[in-house]
Amino acid sequence: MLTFENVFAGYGEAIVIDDCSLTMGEGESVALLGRNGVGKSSLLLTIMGHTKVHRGSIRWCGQDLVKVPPHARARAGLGWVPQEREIFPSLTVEENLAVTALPGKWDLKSIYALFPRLQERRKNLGNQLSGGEQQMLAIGRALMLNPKLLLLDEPLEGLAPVIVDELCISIERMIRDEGQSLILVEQHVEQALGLAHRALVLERGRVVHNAKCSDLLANISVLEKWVGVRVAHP
Amino acid sequence: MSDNLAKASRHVSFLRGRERWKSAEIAFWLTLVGVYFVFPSSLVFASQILITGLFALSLDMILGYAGIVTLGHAAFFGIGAYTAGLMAAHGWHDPFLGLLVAGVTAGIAGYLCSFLLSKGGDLTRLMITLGIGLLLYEVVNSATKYTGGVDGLQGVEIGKLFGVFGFDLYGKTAYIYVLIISFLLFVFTRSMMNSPYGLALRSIRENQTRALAIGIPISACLTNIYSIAAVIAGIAGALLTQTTQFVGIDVLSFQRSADLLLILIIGGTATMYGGFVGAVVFLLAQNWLSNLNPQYWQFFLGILLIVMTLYLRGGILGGFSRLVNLFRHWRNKEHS
Repeated sequence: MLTFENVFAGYGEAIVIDDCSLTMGEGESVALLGRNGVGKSSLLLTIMGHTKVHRGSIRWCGQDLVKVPPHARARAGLGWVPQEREIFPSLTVEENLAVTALPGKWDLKSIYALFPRLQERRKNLGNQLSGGEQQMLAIGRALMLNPKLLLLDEPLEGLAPVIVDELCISIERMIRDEGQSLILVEQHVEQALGLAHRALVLERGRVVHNAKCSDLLANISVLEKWVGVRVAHP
Repeated sequence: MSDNLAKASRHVSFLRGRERWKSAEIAFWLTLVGVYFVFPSSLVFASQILITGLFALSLDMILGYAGIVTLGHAAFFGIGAYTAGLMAAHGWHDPFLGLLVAGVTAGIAGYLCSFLLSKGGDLTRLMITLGIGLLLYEVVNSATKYTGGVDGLQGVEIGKLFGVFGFDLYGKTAYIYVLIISFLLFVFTRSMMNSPYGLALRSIRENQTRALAIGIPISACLTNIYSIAAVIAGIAGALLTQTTQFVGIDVLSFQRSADLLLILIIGGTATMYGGFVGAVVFLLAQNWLSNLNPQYWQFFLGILLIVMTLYLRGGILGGFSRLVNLFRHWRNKEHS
């Protein structure tokens, strides 16, 4: 569904994504891991067309993506939830969701079923939500586009542990029950590996390790080497 | 694009609920009908208020909803006014044809100008729109042979509506004509702003990069709305020409653009009705204050503006809806 072939991309002349290749199939969920500053968010920005691609090819459902403008990528089935959430503050929860709704299995009803808190808050304005609710709304808004692939950039960052658990359950339901394809960038390595099927480890802008999440969880030395964290044995 | 939007609006059914008319809205339009019977001697003035309200509605579309600041919106009003005037002065007396051509001409001008505005921040837009307004004013001013320059365009003769209803001295026909046209354009604008397209515009106002990321084609949206707003401004200008049978160069003046901004902000932005309410308050206040003191009346207007900006955020309608909420809150408390 999504293919990167030797992609070099970055901001202006600076190269951040350096000779990166990867493929993703339909229905797959991928955890994108790596230390700070290895280009995880930049990879998502490259998929969405917000960086300059110097070389290489990016293909999406058989179509060359490099020249496609960002808004058309969103319409073509790429749903992006950026780290900053960026809820529209003066629109209500419901309006935030409705802005770009496209027909498909995700509609107001199924989003509310996934995030019941949003239904309780549907008449509230975007700036009257807690951090966790904003994150749910940001994910819900991206899902309303009915994306073939959802890109989540550190959805659990800065949230209270209770909310993290709640969000993880929702993300798991998205993957297991709805078969939603997604790329999950996360610093919470354990949670990310518990949610996704496959893990890609990024180092200096390229994929250096590609494994099933369950294998990676069992192979702690690799995690320590590339991600630099100790993981409690499951 | 519109196909997508139609699909989307079927998809999010709660938007349909908004299309229902609230009782306050129905009361508003019925009051305007009532004005015809209650104030038969002030219909000329009432028409001017309505025209200004319609003009302010067109500003609300681009400023209130899409967040484009402008100090040159009178350009499109003026283009409409002069188009209708020149047509009527050169033998095309039918008022509806005049409205149509004026709207289309202003729309084309808006479409062309929109490309200058699609990039750049608020300050850039302010300067560009100001520039366009000044430029057009001087073009009309210098083309005295065709436009009459500062003396205004003479010899505007408007035919009867449907060949039956002539424009009378008391402005009876004019008021009904203006009211019906304003209402039709309002209904059109209202349904547009309550659709997902209206939401898309508001999300562009809130956060351009985010809007882009969720698939909103920003430049296309801004070009559309700027052109449509120009059409409505042009029609408002044409209505002024047709109901006064004269075009003064002040239709293009900077003062008109600036007053319009005041009117909309006084009334309340992004509310659909803010422009009309602002026009009523502003023109009545202007009338009343200039009777009190013809020379220095703007002094009081200045005070009004400062007080309103500081203490009445969201304009009159914003303050009103806060009052209503307070009252509801208080009543709920009483009940429980």
